[in-house]
Order: sequence, then C-alpha cells, then structure tokens
Amino acid sequence: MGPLIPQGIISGELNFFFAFIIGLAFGFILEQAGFSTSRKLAGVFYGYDFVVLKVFFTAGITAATAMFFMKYLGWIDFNFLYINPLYVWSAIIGGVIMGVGFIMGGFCPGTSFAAAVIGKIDAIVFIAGMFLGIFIFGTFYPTFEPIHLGHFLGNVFIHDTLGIKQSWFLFFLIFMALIAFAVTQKIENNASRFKELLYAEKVNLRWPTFFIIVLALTAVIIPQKRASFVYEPTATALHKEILSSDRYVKYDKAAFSIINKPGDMQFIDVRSREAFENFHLPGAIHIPLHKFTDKNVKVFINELNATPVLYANASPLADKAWFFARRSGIKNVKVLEGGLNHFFDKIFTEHQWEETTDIEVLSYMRFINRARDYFLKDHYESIPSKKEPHELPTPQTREIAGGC
Amino acid sequence: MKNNQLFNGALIFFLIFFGAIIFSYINNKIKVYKQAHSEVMQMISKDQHTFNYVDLYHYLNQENNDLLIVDLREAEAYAQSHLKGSINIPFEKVLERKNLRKLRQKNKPAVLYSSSQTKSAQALLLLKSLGVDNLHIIPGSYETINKKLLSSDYPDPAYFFYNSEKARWDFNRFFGKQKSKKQTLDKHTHTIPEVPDMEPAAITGGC
Repeated sequence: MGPLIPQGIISGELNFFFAFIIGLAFGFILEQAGFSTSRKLAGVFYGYDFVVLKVFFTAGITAATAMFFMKYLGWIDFNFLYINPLYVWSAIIGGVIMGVGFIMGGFCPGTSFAAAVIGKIDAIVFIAGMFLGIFIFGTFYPTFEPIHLGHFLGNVFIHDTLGIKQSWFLFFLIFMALIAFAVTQKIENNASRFKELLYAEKVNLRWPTFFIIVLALTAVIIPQKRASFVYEPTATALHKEILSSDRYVKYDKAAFSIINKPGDMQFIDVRSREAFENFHLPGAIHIPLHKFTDKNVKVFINELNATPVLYANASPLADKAWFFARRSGIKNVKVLEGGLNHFFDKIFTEHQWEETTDIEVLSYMRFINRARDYFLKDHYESIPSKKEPHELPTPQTREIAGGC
Repeated sequence: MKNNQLFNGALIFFLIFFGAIIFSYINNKIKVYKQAHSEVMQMISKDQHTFNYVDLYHYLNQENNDLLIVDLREAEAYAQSHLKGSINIPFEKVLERKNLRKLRQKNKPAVLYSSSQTKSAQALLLLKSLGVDNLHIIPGSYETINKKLLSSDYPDPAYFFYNSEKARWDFNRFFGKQKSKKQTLDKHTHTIPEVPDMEPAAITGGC
C-alpha cells in the first residue's frame, strides 16, 4: 500500500492485513491460471504454451497504464514511491540464474510455493534449493559483495535513459505487448500437438485490444502538465479558507496553552535558524519555510498529538507556511495571529486598565498580568516539555521491494 | 461466456480511467492549479517578489510606467483613496475569470497591495499556483504605504526597506530575563536532537 501509508491515509499496522488479502488473491490467481504446473510454465521455452508471457505482460501493461493515469489524475504522488536502484551486474547475473532455474525446475519462486501447497514434491525440493542458495549467498556475502553492488546507476527510469517521454514509452510498451501476443498465438496454433489441450473454446480478444489501444493513444494525446493532487483542496476551496480566519490562534489562547496546558499546542517556528536560536517559544520545533514541501514534514505534522501552531515574527511568513502546509494536504494547522510581535505587544506593554466591574474584563486583566509575571520570572523552564527543540531528520523513503 | 467476462473487465478498466480524465477536464473549470506547491516554493525562494518603497516611489513618479498596480481591498476602501494608477480587484473576487485575465497581461509586472501584508502574500501564493507569473507584492498595508511614502514630501528613509515581518522587540529581554543569552545558546548546542519515529518500513514481496 505504497502511497497510502506515508500519506497517513491508512496506518502502518493495517499494512499486514492488506498484505494478507493481496497474498491470498495472488496465490488464488496463480493456482487458477495453472501456474502450479511446471509443464505449463516451461511451455514458454519449448514453444507450445505462452501463458506465462501473456499473463505477466498483461499485468505489466495494466499496471503501467494504471500508474500513468493515476499520476496524471493526481491520485499518486511519485515522490512518495520508492524506486528500486539499479545495480547492473547483480541484475544481469540474477536474471541468468533465475532463467536457468526456471528452465531446470519449471517454477519461479512464487509459483513454487503455490505448487508446494498443493503437495507437489518437485516444488518442495525446489524451495529447499532456494533456501540453500540464500544460505550460500548470505554466508559468502563478502566474496559476492563487489559483484552485488557493482556498477551502480541509481534510480533510473527506462524512458529517461532512452530519452523519450513517459507517455510514448507506455505507447510502445503496449504496442510491443500486442505484437508479442499475436506472434505467440501464431506459434501456439502451429504447435498442433498440444492444441486441443489448451483452449476448449476460442476467445475473442477484439474488445480488450480496442480498449487498450484507445488508452495508449489517450496517454500520448493528453497534455503532460498537471499539478493538482487528490489530497489538495481546490483553488476555490483554498481561497475560501484564506478568507475565513478559522486558522488563527489568538495570543491569549497561546499564552494560556503555554502556562496551563503545555501539551496542547505544538509551536512550530518557521523563521530562519539564527532567529530560532536567538529566541523561540518554549517547546517549539524549528521547521523553516522552505522545508514545508518536504514529504517528511507532512508525515511528522500528521503524527503530532498536539495542535500544530505556526508562528513567525509577524503573520505573513507563518501564513505562507500555512499555505504550503494546506497544499501538501496537512489538515488542522493553525497560525499564531499577528505572530510574536503581536503576542509581545499585548502581553508585555503596560496596559492602562480602566476601573470596571465587568467580570470578563477583570478576569482577562488578571490573566494578562499573571502571564507577564510568569514569562518574566523564567517560570517556563519548569514546564514538563517532552519534546526538545530540534530540526527534522533527513528525508527517508519507505522501501517497497518486490517483483517476481 | 468467457468472452463476456473479458469484455466486462476491459470495459470497467477503460471506463474508470476515461471517465476520470473527462471528469478532471470538467473539474478544470473549478480552478485546478497550474504549478505544484514545490514549484511555487522554488519560485518564491528564487526571485525577489517584494517591491521596496524606493522602487515604488520612482515608479509612481514616472509617467507611463510599465507596472500594473493592483489594489486588493474592498471597493469602498478603494473609492476613498488608492495608489495612483492602480486598478481594484477585491481579494474575494480574485478568482473570477475576467480578473485573472487582467492579471495575466504579458510583459507587464504586477504589484499587489492590500489592507495587510498577510493578505497580499496569500494572494501572491494563490495566483502563482494558478500560473500568474511576474507578480510582486508591496510589503506592509496600504496605511503604511500612504503614511510613509505618499503623505510627506519625500519618503522616510527608515521605511525604504520596510517589511512587517521584521521583529519589533528583542524577545529575549522578556522571556526569562535573569538568564544570560549565552547560557541559552549553550543549552541548545548540547542537547541531542530527538528524532521522531520514522523508521523505514520494508515491504517485501515477490512471486
């Protein structure tokens, strides 16, 4: 559930549940497609059954088309995805070993488990061999390391390497897949020896072919640039939010929170590092403005237990940070109204209190006087603050490894 | 039978994406951003988007300047007084199509001012997200500009580079004033930063 967990839509624990469900579905489909029979799998190499190629090519183009359009529609943020780095030597050698094992054993790692579960002895032996291989690799890793980590190219995309657009690559991939399907169908039909085994009835593939071609053409035609993500409020909604003043926290609320309920608000300083080190509110965290588009800031703020309150010397800077936080999809972010200037104006300037009997004015007066004494006399050091001021850690990508 | 299933599967896949694309184009009318938030951040950190009072003074005294001055306050406030040569687009109506067209004039930089710097800064970010380039803001409110720049015969030098974001107090004087500043600094350098729990979760899979 790659993009859903880092964005905080579902929690990390639910991941295991989804892994279980997806695993069940995967095993079911492998068994249902007949992949637990090594004859069917090995058919690719002998030229009488190309179902493996068809299934995986179909899965590939379906996933590629879905990823392309989901990115286009803003449902997926590619910044949240982990892309496997490319080590050329280990990819080549691993591919060769996998291919040789596939021909000899008649299984690929996943299908061998599906076959072992239905009680095939050859599959059990295959799995034992796999564990032996893992053991050998682990034991002699220092010997293999230069090969394993050799010729590192980083996170590369094939369309960048070829120098073409992503949409054109998708188009050619679909085109290639369709040609491969047609050619392998021809070869299968010629291998008449097994023909009656394969299909009881002839399948008409006209409509799926038509749809996938239309999608491929759409991918090429549509303009590439879109910048709205699904978690962002639309410009109209954001405009309304800017106009309303719901996001502001008043200076007296903030002072009350510092004095009486220290865990209630998490103050976030968006000024420069020097300004933060010179002075910051008790318990504040430093996140400068330019970091507000980082994904780990989003994760960090979403995981806070307290209400995040942004502040700067005055409103404009904190409000800019609020704007970027809203566009990253962070909800419930507040801004200290008027910033530190207003806060200090109201609390530390000498007020001319008039004689009054209004109970609200009196209690307000008493509170301001108490807050001033409190801050002046260094009491805030005794606040049981769990969080020390700190900077955010360097960005980390959550690793999603996989493959067949 | 098998044929039908294939048709249905392909049709559903097709309809989801085609429908979503068509819907996103209809949705385009409800203002979809032209710039991602990281691009807007790069733009505002790269170029100088505030207009200082010296430049503004020179521009206002020029005849036929190439500057589009936009007043974001309400129409009543604009009617009372406004900067010379400015047009009025209230912030409430800034997303209307004709107003966006006015702001998008080619080769003509636009400067915004409002009743507070907060409002003009928000308008700047919103309009830059919608793809309006060449935008600047005048720091401070209209009252500040009027008082410090226009009412007197020559501008007040103390306000040449005015920005309401500047600190008006030495904050350390008030918070815990017994302690010396050096001690506070030392305390920060010696604390070990607490790292929040963000360990990478490896999700392994395979076939």
